[in-house]
Amino acid sequence: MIAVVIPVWHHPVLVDEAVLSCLAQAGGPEAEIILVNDGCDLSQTRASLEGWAAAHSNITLLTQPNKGLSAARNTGIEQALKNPACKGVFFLDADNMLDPHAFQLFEKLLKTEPDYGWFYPQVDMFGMEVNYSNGNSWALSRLASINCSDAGSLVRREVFEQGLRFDTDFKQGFEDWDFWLGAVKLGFIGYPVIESFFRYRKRPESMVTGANRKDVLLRGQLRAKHAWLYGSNRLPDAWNEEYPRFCIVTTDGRIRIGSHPLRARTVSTEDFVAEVFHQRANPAESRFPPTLVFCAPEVLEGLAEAKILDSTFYQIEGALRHAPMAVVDISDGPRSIRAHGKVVDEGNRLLEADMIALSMHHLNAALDKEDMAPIISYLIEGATVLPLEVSYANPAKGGAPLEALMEAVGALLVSPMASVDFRQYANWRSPVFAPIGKDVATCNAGGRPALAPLGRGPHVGFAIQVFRFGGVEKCLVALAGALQAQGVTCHLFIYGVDDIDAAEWMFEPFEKVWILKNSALREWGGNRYMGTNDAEHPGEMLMGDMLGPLTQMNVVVNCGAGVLNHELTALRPRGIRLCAWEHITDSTPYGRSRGTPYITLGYEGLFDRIITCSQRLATRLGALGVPEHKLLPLPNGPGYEGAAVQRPARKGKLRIGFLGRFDPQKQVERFVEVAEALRKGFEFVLCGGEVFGKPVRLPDWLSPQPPIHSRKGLDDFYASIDVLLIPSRDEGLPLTILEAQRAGVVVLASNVGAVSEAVVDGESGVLLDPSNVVPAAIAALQALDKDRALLARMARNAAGKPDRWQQNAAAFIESLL
Amino acid sequence: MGQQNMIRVLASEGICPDGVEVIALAPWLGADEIVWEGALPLCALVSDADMPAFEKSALARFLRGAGVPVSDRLETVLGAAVLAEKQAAAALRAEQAALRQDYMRLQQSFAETEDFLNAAFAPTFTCARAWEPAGGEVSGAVEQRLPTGSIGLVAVDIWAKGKGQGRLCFGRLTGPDFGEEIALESGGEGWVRAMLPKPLAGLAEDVVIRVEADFALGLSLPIPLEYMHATGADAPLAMRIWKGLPGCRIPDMEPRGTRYVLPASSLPAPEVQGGTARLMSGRDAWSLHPGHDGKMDFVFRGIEVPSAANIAAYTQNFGPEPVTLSLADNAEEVARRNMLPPESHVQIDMFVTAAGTVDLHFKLRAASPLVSVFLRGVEIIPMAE
Repeated sequence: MIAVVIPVWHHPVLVDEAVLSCLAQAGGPEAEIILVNDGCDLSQTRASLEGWAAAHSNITLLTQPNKGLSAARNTGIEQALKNPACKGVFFLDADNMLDPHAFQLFEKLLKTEPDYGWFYPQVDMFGMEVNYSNGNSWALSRLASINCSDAGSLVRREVFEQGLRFDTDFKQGFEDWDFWLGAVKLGFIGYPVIESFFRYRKRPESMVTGANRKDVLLRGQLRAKHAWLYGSNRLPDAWNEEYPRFCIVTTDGRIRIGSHPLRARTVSTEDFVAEVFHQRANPAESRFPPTLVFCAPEVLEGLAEAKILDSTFYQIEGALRHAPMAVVDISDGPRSIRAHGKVVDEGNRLLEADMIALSMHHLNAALDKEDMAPIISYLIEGATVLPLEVSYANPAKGGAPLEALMEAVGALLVSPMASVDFRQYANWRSPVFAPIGKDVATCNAGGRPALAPLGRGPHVGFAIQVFRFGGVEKCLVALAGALQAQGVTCHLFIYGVDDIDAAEWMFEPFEKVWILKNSALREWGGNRYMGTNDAEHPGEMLMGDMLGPLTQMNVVVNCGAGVLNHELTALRPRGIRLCAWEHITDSTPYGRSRGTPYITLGYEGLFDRIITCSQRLATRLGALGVPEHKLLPLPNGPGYEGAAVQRPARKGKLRIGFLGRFDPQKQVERFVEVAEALRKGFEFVLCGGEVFGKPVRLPDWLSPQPPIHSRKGLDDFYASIDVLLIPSRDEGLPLTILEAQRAGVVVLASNVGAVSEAVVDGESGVLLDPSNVVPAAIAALQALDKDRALLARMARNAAGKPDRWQQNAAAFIESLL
Repeated sequence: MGQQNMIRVLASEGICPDGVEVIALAPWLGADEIVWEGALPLCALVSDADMPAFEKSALARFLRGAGVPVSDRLETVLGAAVLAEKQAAAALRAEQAALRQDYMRLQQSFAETEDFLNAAFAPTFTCARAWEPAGGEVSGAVEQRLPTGSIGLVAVDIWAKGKGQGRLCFGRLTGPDFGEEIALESGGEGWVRAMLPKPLAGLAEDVVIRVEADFALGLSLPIPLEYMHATGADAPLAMRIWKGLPGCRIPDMEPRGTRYVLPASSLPAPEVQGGTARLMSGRDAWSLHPGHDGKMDFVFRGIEVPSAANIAAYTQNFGPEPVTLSLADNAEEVARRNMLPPESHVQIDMFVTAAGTVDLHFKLRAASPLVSVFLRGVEIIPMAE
């Protein structure tokens, strides 16, 4: 037995057709027709309903004060559930109708499709006669994007027995959409019925009643209520699963379809051909990916090994927003993914490309040409192409992707399906092109989601603009390594414009590396806050590309990617905890303090925690207005792992070293001045290079060693010196101090920033008066030269510190995870 | 579940006359949530004593919201109810009369439309889909989903692989069939038609055909949609699906000495010089657009003619400009030029003197490329030689 619930309000005449359509069923189960007069003030309604109820014993009439559609349906549900034989409830609005075979169909569906909680119709409208397809297959992400399940659906009793009812707060509409999502939350899924049985009365008035104006508000209400779907990874994961993003054809003949290259299902050539032609005929119903990628299998393996497979495919997908084709040239070098800003009319770039990507739209247009020669000509010669350059160490290339492309096109053309005009098997109902991907992105902080769900968490993402062999980067790597050791999975997001120039070991702690290079990501020309310029907003698309993959994180740590601050708040509804990690303030040539810590102050409300590299910086930010509970000082330790070195007292000339950038901050000029003064009694070693600022003039006798980018190189350097001189103008808590101390080197450093947290004057090194660095350094060096025992004692005192990073990781986890 | 059709009132104790079903008022006065099962009372008869409590009750709000009158005299309510019913009945009769008139006007308009279409030489049928045989076959009881909706569906041709008999019905996936079973008779390999007495009407629905025959059925080329495959096969049946207007004439399948029509989908792809020709499969018409100079020559080659015949091409000019179109059996002949006024249907004729194969050469001329002409098909009308 089933029940049909017909709520009635202000449809005193049309309800006759609804009721009649129930009574005129050709077979099917017994049915109780429950008319719910929702307090309609028209006497005609009352007369009509009472007439039907008086004439037919299977009609129940209920009248209640006007409470709205949801409440009326709920009243009908309660009535239906009173009968234990009732297996399901169909909701028929008073102006709609059922086809005569509907009850037969309901009986069949309830019996033969036990896995489904409800059964929804094709959108067959009368009045304004239009027939739309319901999609012909279930997809949660589709339901999340549009209400493809009309209220005119059959719902199993079990759904109501779990307590689900229509939400009476949805008075302006979408109450049915809310109901279906509620059913999904309870574990039910819907079944799109492919045959007609339900008729929706479409009137022109329904197009102008302000539904569109209300749409934004109602969607907001829906998304807030169903945060389990819209505010979590559930929706992106469902979308990735239900609507594969890539078809990957490799030169070994393997064809894969999926959202992630390594998790995609392998399909036969026959299935590939069938899916392509299905897509051509019924694009709105097809699940064939919008992007085709051709490459050698070695390329996939190499990208995966370099941890940039996801990021590369993400950027390929993004490139096809600008051009129908994209080509990827892979070279040997530091990790990099760079998309050119402009498309080029150079189809011949395909000949030498290592990866070729094209949109299904482009392939469709080519296949319209019907013969091989014009198809290939259209695909290659006439294409505008967006080039991408990818590099990683020692890439293996394999076969030419153009051949794989040719073979795929050939398989399509020799198929008998190619001879059929695809319009001949197009669905006779109009397709509904739901903007699913766009809606998923909207709910995903505005960006396309990452390609696949992540493994066991928690997951921490570090976002940084520049990734080289610098102090900030080494801190990041050290903390990530310690977090990894304590069970946290870390991911690296390099969003900037500079080339990546980091040692291989610096990528080890990260599961995936995401790279986005764009000049807009390093524009510090925005508004000033506390005297420091903010980053400029890079535009919605670029911002979406940055935020999209970050939504998978549990914690996002912004390590100076200032551009992200503009929209980072979009991650907050996802329950993602946000941090900034601050290291140092700089000085202008006039001595004014500036730097990213000030920008972070401007976004303080955004962050759950502000991590500092020193206690001193935390204190300073607290004094500038950051509440204490938000400050998380993680004092730096050495930037890489190593054992403490105990050195014997040294004889002979002392070797004094400098390590760092030749820029105004590091003040290499002061080192040179000291060296010139003491060159006869000491040896001086200069290591580093110019990065910013004007060139430094060095004496001929002091030729610098090139910058060091390896742990062994650093160890060798520290082993080669007795004293490290750091005459900087500004510092945070430099890693070089901590690394040098561990290596048994005595540090002489200007007393700026948080240097005093690492160097106890006279005990573990010497602090130099910042206003008198050169004379103080000369005096200190002369004193140490004379008192070698003091030198050795200072070295021992400094080398015995415990490893900070494990402590820092524990503090991070306790505070944020 | 059922409701009783009788006068019942909700009434204070002792206030109601005999012979009326009375529902006691008192128990309802304290109710907070009211869901009334069955017919509402004709009225609420409330005594002066109950009135203060009644006015404060949820019941009072509910009844007033539902339009149930509140009174202390049943006669007054009954009188008003009778008057209202009479007025409503009169209004309904007036509306029925208006609807009858509208229905008659609709019938007249429809008849005029049919006349207009006939006068305009517009074909009254269309080949909605054509899936040609591709060599494969299937036998036994076969179900085939149709790729079209039901509206206007009048016939399907299926491809018989040999002689024999069978039957076909147009049905729903679930529910009753559309009409009776149709007998099939095949004289050998070729098309066999199953035709409904009249095209299906009403609202669009999904349709399947079910065939049982002692001859094998030809299959078309494979297509990717499994739900469109014939039972037990990996391809759909070879089919032609015909749609039309009620009362339309359906073309014969094979030339039999009488006139017959080759719809656009049955014509070979034309050779085109200047301009473009595209088959609009949904409308069963060749869409013709001249080149930038307004000129277009196109030829359909190899049209079989069984005898001397008049060949009529059915054309339609959609554009805002007039077009001239000529038809001849060779490229050189200067044929009579036919003017196609804007928004017009025009029949263009040509005579062939003997049986054989003929090429249909068309020359289209317009003042600009901004014209759009449909060629819906050609009719072969055998004549005495």
